Amino acid sequence: MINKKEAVIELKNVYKSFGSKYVLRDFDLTIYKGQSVVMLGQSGMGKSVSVRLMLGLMDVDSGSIKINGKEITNFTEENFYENNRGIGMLFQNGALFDSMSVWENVAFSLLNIDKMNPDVARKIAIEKLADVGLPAKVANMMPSELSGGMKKRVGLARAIADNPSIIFFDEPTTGLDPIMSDVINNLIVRCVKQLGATALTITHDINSAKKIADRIVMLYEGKIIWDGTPKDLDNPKNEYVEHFVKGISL
Amino acid sequence: MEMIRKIGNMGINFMKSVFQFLLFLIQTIHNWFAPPYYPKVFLRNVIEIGFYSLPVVSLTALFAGMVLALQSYSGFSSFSAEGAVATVVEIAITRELGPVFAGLMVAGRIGATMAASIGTMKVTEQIDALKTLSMNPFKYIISPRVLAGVVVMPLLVLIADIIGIFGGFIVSVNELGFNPYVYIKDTYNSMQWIDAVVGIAKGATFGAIITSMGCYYGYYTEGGADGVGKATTNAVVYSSILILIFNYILTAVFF
Repeated sequence: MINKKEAVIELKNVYKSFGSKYVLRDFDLTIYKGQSVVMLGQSGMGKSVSVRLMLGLMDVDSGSIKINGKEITNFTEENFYENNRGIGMLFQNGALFDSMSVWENVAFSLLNIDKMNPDVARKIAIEKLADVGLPAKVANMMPSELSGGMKKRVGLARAIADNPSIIFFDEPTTGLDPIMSDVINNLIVRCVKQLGATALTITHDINSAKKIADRIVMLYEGKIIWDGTPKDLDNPKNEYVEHFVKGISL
Repeated sequence: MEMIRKIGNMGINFMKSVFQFLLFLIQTIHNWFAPPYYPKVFLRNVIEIGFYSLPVVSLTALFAGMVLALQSYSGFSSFSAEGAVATVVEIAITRELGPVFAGLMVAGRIGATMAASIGTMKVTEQIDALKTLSMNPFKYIISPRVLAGVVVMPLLVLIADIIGIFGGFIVSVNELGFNPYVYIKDTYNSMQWIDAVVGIAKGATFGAIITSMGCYYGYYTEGGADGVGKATTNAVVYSSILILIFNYILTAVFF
């Protein structure tokens, strides 16, 4: 249920540069509780950077970032570790720990942060794997034995293992075939709904965006230039968005 | 003018790296004293650094002791001082060759492994994944590794010392015709408590150098496979250089 009174993620006048090149400039974005927002944009437009800033993986040049009402730009590293509890993240290539088995990956925070009993953590990990459509026999496999689609699913299971209230998805369907992409999209929709979480997905896959989102924003040259619903994307009334959707260069 | 600018830039970059490394070291040591702890990770690294390095360290020490016995015999026999072979082997192995060879071998094996594995974790976003899972990478990856190096290396040096002396004994008794009882007695008589202290101090220092350089270069890896390769090379080269420098410093301190 979207609650437009409660902003969960709030970025205001955010600037981020690398050397002399500004990736984000005067970037504003507010995401409300329960919303599933997709951020579209070409490669190199700052989509991943914006998410990394929200997770404290990068420092902001200036501006304000609030997560669950807390200003995070003045956080210490320890504050970020604390704040990231309750936040899930699916990385583009899964970023699975290759020295650990699948179930240890999924149960990582349960074992190492929550200090849960390994038997209980394993049971939860297998349940989460089932949630993303993977059988229990996968639990003892190593990440190197998995296909690209399976890695994404394990990454998704790990992201939702601790029942987060905010989930970020970084290019969840990149590198997957259309059928597997659809499977992942459906899983994302189901997981977000089940958890009642707020989600931000970054992608340049229009089909994914339409399937996952209840709100779509378009990033161009470091700013949000368009904000609408998946339906609005059919007639965006913006030249750049129209070209992006049709895949035609300006 | 261009030349001066380049030298100046090199100097600034060097100072930046030194400062960054010192901060890295402070964070590493700080996490030794700040719970929570991860004993399983520590023990895994103790086994990896200590147990799996035993064959390579033992072989190196054995042959170092054997060569030393042969060479010192050929030198001392020219002025009828063959009796000093046992003493020279003992002092050279326990104070210098044992720690240095063990350090260099472990630098090649463990320093490279650590830089490569942590570097790969960095470029494949596994370090970022740790952070998003609320895990401080220093606590989970860096600090246990460096602590394991500091704890295990003195033991490895001690084993290298024993095996090195044994190598000298084998050659002296079997090749050079020494009386085994006299050789052991000479070795025992030449031993001083300071030899063990020097060995332990050097071992702990070299362990800290190897693991911190491996972790440091791995943690700050940039780029892809090329970056991991550079990190691995840097970790081995700089830890080897630092081992030799600190070996001299510690020898001078205990001289």
